[in-house]
Amino acid sequence: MARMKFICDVERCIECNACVTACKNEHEVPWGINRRRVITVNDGQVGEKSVSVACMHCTDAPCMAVCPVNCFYKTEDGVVLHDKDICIGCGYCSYACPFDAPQFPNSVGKAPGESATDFFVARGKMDKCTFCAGGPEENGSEAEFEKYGRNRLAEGKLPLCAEMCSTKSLLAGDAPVIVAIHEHRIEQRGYGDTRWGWEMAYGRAENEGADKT
Amino acid sequence: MNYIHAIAALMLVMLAGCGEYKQKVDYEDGGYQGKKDERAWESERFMHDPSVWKQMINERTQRQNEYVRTEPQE
Repeated sequence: MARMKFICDVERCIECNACVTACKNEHEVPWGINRRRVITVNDGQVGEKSVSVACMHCTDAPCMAVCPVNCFYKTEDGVVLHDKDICIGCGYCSYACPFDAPQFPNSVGKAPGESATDFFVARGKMDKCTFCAGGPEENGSEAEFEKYGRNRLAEGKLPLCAEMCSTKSLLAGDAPVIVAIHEHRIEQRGYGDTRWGWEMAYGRAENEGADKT
Repeated sequence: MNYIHAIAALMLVMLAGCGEYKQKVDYEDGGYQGKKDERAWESERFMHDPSVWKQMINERTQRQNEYVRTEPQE
């Protein structure tokens, strides 16, 4: 079965934020929730790098391990999803995630240091990137869209952030397929592997150069 | 009289045992507790066949590969 993954090629990302906009528009994500965001390191300096970050749908997802109510599950395609009817908004997943993917509707938009509603339950139910795979509701239903956003995978499509990336920095799809695309790219340009976050999310391959899934 | 007091005290002690509850915590195995999700290919569009869905997804994934459209000149 397919193993859906993201690759962000930092050599290509131009910090246009189209992926962020596409995600917010496609899923009608409310203000303050950023399922995807672009982070730039050494901004304004020579050699700055940008990377588009969202849930990486980790192979051994730490959010699943720490959830006290077991609201997370992994689909047969390797997409990490959660049931919002079970989530209690405790925020453990947020602390566990190395990519800061889990988002909470009531704990945003405050000045640094302010945390009036930043405590147990009051922060609201967690929201995160679904790899455009919806959630545990009927595929394509209104309930699914309201809670989790559009289910593009059930329409035979890929996540919109990757599909509309202008430089094709962000790749999404079955792991062996996107790894092959990326490795061909590396061969063409003649220098290093720039799969940001790949090893942290999916582990290191036993044989370098082999399929890193 | 002392005999009756002793029996009453003993009964109270024994009754107190009825209020005890299990002290040991039973941990759950950590399985998913939420609703069952439909799989992406469970529709007429893919004829409920995962291979049809996967083929469509992989074809679509190749659209992200610009080298398919134009190989760079050697």
